[in-house]
Amino acid sequence: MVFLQQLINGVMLGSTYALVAIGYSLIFGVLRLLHFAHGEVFMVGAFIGLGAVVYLHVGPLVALLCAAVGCALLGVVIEFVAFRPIRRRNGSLLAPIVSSLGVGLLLQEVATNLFGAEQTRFPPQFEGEMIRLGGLFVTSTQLFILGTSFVLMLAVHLFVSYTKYGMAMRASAESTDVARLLGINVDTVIVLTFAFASALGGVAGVLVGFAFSAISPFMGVSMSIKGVAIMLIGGLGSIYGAMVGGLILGVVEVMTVGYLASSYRDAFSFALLIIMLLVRPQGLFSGASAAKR
Amino acid sequence: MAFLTISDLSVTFGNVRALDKVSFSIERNEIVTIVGANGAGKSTLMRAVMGLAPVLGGTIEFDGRSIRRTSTHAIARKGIALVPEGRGPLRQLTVRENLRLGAFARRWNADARRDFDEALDRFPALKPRLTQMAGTLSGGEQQMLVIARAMMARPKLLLLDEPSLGLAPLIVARVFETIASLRAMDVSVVIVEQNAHAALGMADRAYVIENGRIVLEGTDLLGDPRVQEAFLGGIVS
Amino acid sequence: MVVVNRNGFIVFHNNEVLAIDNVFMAAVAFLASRDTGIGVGMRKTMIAIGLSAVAMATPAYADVQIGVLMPTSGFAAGFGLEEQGSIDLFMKSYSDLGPAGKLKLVIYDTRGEPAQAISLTKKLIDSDKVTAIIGPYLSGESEAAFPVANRAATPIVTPSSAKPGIAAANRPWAFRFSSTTDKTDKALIEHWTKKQSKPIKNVVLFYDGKDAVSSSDGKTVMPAALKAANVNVLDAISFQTGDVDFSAQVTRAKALNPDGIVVTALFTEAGHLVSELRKQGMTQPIAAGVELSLDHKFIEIAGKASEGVLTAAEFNRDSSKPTVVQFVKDYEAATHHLPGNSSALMYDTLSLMRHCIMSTGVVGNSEADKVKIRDCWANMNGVEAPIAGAVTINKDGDGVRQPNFLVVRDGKFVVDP
Repeated sequence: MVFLQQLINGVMLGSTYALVAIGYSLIFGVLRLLHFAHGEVFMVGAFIGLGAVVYLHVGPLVALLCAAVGCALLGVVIEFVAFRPIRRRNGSLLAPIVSSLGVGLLLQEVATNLFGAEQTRFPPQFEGEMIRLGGLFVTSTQLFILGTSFVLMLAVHLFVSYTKYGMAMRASAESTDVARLLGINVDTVIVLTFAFASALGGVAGVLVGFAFSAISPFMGVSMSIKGVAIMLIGGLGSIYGAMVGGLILGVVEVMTVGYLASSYRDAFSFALLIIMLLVRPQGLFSGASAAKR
Repeated sequence: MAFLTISDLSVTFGNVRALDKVSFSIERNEIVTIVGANGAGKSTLMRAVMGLAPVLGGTIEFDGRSIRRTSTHAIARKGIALVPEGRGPLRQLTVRENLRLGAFARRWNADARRDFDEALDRFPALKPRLTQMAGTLSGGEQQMLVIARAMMARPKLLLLDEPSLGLAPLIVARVFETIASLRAMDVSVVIVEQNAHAALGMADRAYVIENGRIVLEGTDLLGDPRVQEAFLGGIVS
Repeated sequence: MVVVNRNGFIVFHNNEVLAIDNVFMAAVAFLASRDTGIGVGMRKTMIAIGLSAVAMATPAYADVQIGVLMPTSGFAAGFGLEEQGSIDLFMKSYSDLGPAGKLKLVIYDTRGEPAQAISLTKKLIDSDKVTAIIGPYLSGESEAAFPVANRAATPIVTPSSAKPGIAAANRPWAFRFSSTTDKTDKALIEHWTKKQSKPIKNVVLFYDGKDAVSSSDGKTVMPAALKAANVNVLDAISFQTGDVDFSAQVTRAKALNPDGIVVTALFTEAGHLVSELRKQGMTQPIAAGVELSLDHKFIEIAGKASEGVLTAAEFNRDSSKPTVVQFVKDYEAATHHLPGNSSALMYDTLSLMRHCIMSTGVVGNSEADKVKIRDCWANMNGVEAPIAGAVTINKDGDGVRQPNFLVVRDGKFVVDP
């Protein structure tokens, strides 16, 4: 029973990881670049959701929507400011990494000044009702988070599989030249990818805010590292890898803490990563390149 | 004025001059072949037309308008399709998805669906493979797929870069048959080939490119002794 | 309104402080990487210019200079900002030292990182030539910074670090205003067990394994205090500073069904933990060590779950003592916030540092002045501080005082008699 409860705890945690990691994967897939400010986009999403709830008195769904829209815009701005100019000038591979790190720091500091360095939280009613299922317990908020995460993962799957722009995204991920030759405006696809990935990140930020009541300017930092680790576990640029990898990491973390000690948590997570790199360096879901679904 | 006119086009990569004042043109409904050895600048010329190579000087005019500074996707949308050399298909998308993306610039309406069905009639080998990843197709099938994909855009000008590369002779013959049948579809075709024989045979006109320069132009290059010596191994067909 | 002050901080109108080097480096890195038209060498030069500009932001002072190390950014920034409020308040009224001129503070942001604390301690001593240092805040930082100051024969006084032994290990130059956890824990557990209607035989102990004081407290100090009170520890479960998900830990504790719960953690993590404990339906009484720092943020984070949590602290904001009432009033007027435990500790430490400068005739920043300040702290016995009252420093360099016991009632810390 305790094990089952821990498994629930792990899936809860993992589903929010997955949403962040999907954003990383989408952007990596199209640009072949790590977007180091993505964790900060996630953080901004949490604050937008909080602002919507506190000042506009909206419900959880509208708060998610606000965060999605706000972060989509932020993602587009980041693309225009930190990535596009470098791409235009054929800058070195390192340049966008540094510039995205810079944007991340900037967002952190701006958030610290606007909201303070300390953690804030959603009003208590967002904690939800406790629901008992036999000896297990979940809260209504947890079910909401789980539901939202899985609906969004399904939406991502349908979008990239069946829509014209989803296909264009995958085409651009495989070869920007071929995509251009087909009449696809790759710049538009990139902007769209940033918007889409950032919206997901923003939603994840709000969900994490609901789940753990811990919104702070620094909440994105560890999420960034985890996002990258999940991407490596799942396969670089693979969306399904990000989903499964996120869930795996969440469960591994919770089980380590539940049965060993919290100090082993990161050690186990990275051991998992290293084993993955040794045994299956291409990740769980992978082909020759990252453009897979 | 020709349909596509290129004058004095120069392209450099670093210090290497890939194209040196190349001029060439094609009329509506014409099939033109450009032959040349490996590295002569054939692919660069095709890429330059599509805005994928760094143009240093010269003009490129399509349908009376300069496209030298137009971006690649916009050139594609004006009606020029390039079937690139080698890795043409999107290997990790299905055959169906490749064909659908061929029509990216168009609406996916009844018209497009009819073209889709026609493409499958033209290339029946693709039919049973629609849900397969394009990367799993054989070389010949891949080449057919990229030609079919290019035709999904209803191009007015089709640029084919080495369509026979790496294919078995039997399949090469089928690919060229298909190209010849495109003549009926109101499309101009430029074929760039190292394997000059078949390409010259079907062309209205041909150019020979050497070290980034056009060295020869004519309507019957197949019979030209210089061409025979250089590209056809001296065998008179 | 934004002002860049001489200490290398950008100060915003609402008194929030931002370390200039972070913004500056971010901006430099950002610009350097954006314009890839320039070469790597040029970029390096730009970054070097950025770094030296940060270094130059430190001015040279006359008068008596005291260095201050505190976290004003990073995860522990909340503590630093509470301290900043007290510094501003104190300097408004007491920067004048009479014949010795002015009291000048050189303030640096440690980000709560021990490595930063070390290099900034060196910088304060070597380039700023301070007479003494106040800080750092966290035990982990003090543990790292104390040996540096001790070797350089410069007095260093942390207002707050509570892990036992860290001043004792760095005699004769390191001191702390605060009491150590071994003294407060014992008193807290005695008080807690005595108050329960149902006797507490078995507890689960939660501790932050990353924060230095919480970790030492959770691993050795608190277990000893519990043992002395005949309480059995069923399990000691750790988490890490910065954690927000405590579900796994609580699920594990719940299965053990203890009589009570003891927590040694900083207020943020303690808040989330307590919230999760109640969420999972554990209703046992909770005692939290001094690391909680009596921060109202704990109540904000834990919400209703914080009701009934007992803790120990030096500062009792609701005290009727006139100097405390005055301090709370002035602090709130100046910062629009209520002072926290960290504010009180910093205010008293500053008061005592000024007392040492003025009573021993320190006039500048010489070696002799450093010795005078050191001896003043070492021999402190019953010196009156505005908030804590009579302050005595023992032979280990630690403050010795009885803590107050406070319990959360109706969303406020109140004295538990």
